[in-house]
Amino acid sequence: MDYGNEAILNLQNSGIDSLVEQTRAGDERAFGRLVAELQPRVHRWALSYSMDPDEAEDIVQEVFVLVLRHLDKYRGHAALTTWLYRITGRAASRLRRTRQRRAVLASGPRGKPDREVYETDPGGRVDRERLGSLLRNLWQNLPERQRVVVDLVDLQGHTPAEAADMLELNPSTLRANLFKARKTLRGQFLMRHPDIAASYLRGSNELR
Amino acid sequence: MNCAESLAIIDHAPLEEVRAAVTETIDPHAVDDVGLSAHLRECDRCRQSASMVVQSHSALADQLAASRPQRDFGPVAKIAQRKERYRRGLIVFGIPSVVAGVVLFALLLTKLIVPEARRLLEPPPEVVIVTYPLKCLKPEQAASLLRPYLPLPKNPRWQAEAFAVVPGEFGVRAVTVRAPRSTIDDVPRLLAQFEKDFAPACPR
Repeated sequence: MDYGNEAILNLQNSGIDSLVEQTRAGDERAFGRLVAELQPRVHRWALSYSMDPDEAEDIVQEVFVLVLRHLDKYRGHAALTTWLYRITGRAASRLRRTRQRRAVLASGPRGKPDREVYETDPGGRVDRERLGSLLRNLWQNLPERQRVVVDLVDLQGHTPAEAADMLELNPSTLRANLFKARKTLRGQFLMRHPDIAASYLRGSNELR
Repeated sequence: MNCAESLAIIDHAPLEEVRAAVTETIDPHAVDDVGLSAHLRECDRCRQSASMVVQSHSALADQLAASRPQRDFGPVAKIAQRKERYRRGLIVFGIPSVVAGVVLFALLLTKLIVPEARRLLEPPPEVVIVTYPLKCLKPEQAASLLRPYLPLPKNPRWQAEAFAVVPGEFGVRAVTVRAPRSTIDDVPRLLAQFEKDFAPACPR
């Protein structure tokens, strides 16, 4: 399945490994190449932690500061992806603590009224990009843990076990968060559609 | 399966299952999937819901993947390297400097500051006033001979003016000494010595 991103690629290929080794040996150019290789993925992850693109950039910067600092400690027991993802999570938490703020994602289609997605297309045949934008609005409003879990499992295609490992979460905690997040996200998403909302509400009541 | 059950599955099932049901590439062993898929074939509305859920997730994944960092990797790497160099420099030079500073300060504290503080905080000595009769020396002579033996005030709190030698007046042949106990204890011996030494000069 194509998840539309390259984050699920296993980073432990020989090229990256060699760059890691060269960076450990003090090769600054190798570190530059390593950053070039990993930066898009880290940025993609940072976006799920922070709703602010500028803050995501700062998280990326902080991640590479930490990577350089702790590269000696990376022994290759965990996949580089997992190690890097954990660093991203810690960098995001650290940055959030220092800033004490939660900005909203300013870029993209954020700010449009949710219903506009459907109302501008009365037939309900909304295009794929608009659906993505609507879901993005809802996804951004999820609590951080749920947002990150949905991102890893439903958007990036990691298995729940992999996601639990990356987030250093108990698998059952992750599953609980995933369940809640999906229910909130898809429930709200379907409720936005004028036609579907009616049957969705009817369905919810019937199930009760 | 009815619409309510179908929506309940779409609501929280793994995206792969919903996708498989929509595209009808289902796992024949997964009962829910079979039921959902069968219902989606019959119900346009539910199929549309499931399809929108799948499409929206896929579109969001694409949108997020398409967002590229604004900062070039070069400056990011350079900043990281500079910060790391600074941190290492701090470890190599900064920490020893701080340790040396602390040691120096501790030495300064124990050798200079603490003794000085102790001296300043020392309570003033007990002042005793005693008048000594003189046999030979005149009161002024005795006073001028004793004055250098009075202690210098080591502490402003001691009130230097409290230490004094006052010659007797109006023909009284005596000297009054106001001084710390340790000095007073020594005065009789000094006076005896002076009177003995200057006996030839004494008025008869």
